[in-house]
Amino acid sequence: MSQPNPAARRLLTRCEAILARLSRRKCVSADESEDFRSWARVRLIEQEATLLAKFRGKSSLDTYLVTVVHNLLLDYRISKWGKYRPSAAAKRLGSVAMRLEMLLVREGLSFDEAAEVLRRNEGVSATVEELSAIAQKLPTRLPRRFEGEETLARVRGSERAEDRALRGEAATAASRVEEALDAALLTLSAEDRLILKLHVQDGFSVADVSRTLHLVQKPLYRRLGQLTDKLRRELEARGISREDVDQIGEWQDLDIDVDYHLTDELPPARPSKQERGR
Amino acid sequence: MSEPAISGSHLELESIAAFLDGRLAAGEREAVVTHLAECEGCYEIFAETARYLRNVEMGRDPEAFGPAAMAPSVEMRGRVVRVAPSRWRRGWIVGALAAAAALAALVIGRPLADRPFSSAPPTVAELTAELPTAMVVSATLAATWDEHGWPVMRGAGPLLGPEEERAFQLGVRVVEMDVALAAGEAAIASRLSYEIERLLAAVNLSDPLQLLYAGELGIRGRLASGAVPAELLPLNRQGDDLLRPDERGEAALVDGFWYELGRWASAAHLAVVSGDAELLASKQTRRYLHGLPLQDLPEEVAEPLRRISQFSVGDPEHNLTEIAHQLELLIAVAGGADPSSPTPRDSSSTRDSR
Repeated sequence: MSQPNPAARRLLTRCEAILARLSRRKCVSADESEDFRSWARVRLIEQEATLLAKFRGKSSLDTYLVTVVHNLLLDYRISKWGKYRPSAAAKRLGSVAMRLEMLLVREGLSFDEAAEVLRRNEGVSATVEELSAIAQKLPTRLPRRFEGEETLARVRGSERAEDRALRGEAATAASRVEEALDAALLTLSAEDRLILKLHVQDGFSVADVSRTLHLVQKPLYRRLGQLTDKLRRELEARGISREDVDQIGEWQDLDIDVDYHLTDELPPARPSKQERGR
Repeated sequence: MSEPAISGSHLELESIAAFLDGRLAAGEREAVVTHLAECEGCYEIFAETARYLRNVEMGRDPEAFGPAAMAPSVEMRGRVVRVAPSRWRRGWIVGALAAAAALAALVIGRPLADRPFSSAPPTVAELTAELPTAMVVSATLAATWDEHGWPVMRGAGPLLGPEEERAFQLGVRVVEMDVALAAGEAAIASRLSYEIERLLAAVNLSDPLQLLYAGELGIRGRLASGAVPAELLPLNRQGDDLLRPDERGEAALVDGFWYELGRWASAAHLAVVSGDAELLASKQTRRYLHGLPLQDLPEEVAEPLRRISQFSVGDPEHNLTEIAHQLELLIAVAGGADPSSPTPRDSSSTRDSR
């Protein structure tokens, strides 16, 4: 007797709820949200049997499905935009910032062009002023200009050549820093690297790193301080300065961020015995 | 060191999920951490999923697209701060009031048929909440609570998925716990608390539910003194919280249908085996049975429900033995026993008339 599989039906219903929430958070517009959800639904139906068969109960079903749907989102982005690693700042600022950064850095568009693409082609509702504010917060991965149409129309060929030269220099410097950083990171344990990546590269608060990696929160503050100190020493030993690190987007906030989170998140210092006695 | 499941050169999604749930053994966790530190593809899925889970946990869930969605508003942050602690305190006040109401009902002990009929849609919680008034069922429970014939091993039985089966078993156990607590059967309640904790170990519990159900502060811990604390009553109604979206917007139990069927089946069986036909004769039961999507259920589950419906339409009091048998079959197979050889509760003690 052919019977509908209640487990599969409920799995799809659950995924639909996750998709709805995720697409609100991760898509740049209502149009893209709908597009992603349709795309993902087709894949979920195609993969329904495999998804169920692969689930062995090692995790909760909810977390498994959230992971599955995120995997779909990354596949969707790659299928639509190709592979691109957004900066930590862009990740923190959200999906519009990530897309804007992609247009500016990878596609090499001017700000006006990128804003036009986002607003006209991709249905982003943000104003040009709001997009400009976002752009100002993005790290300078490569030299960019935020100039109006009129200015662009007056740009001469020689200025473009200067820009190209600047881009080349910056790219070489960034590559040198990235190599040194990769080597410095390799001196750390895998868990330490994961902590740093989550906190510095992806902007997780110390509390969120603690919950995500199931580590006790309080010692994590000291551990992060020690890790950044060690990393800084390793980089300096390789001839890299803080200014050099600033050249590469995703680690640009290395020092600033850690200091900020440490002061921002530490509980207020308890008064000493002497202070209490007063 | 045990190896995490890897598909091709990447981690299986379930390994990432289990890592996020904190459910990996030390060796496997270390291997996953090492992989995540090296593999950008897996790290991206892991970090994005973790970000989503943390945001949902903390109520950082913007509704709009665009720049407004990029950071929680001051209002939203305020709401998170305000809701988290007060919700738990409010839960206890509501719980205490509900407990008082249940105890009052227990003392008054009016038969179900005498109570005013509610115009609100009937719920299984309303049906099973009546059970503690029939104290005789506790004797049945004491003799039979662990005879469902469910396999001891983890994992789903042959009919339902793991989530449906877990929800059904939990529904059965929560009603049994309610009855045990109402009857002051601390020893049975204590054993049931381990069962409930085992079943809930596989779902995401919010902090208030975690405190209600699990660990030293939960049912088990509070039964340690050998007495039944009044604030646990009626657990069955508080059990609805398992289906209600919490501050993260997600219910602990995804499968409300099987959870409620488990609660109803357990309540009906305890009542019937105790010789009480009123639960089966009530309009709520008839409506509930009538509304079940039998055509969508596995035949092994649908068939006993059809027969229970047929026997309940006429005079259920004269069919209690057969109804009890069908309920036993239902509980056994939906809970994960092999349909070809279920080991149901012994219904020989069924009293056909009171």
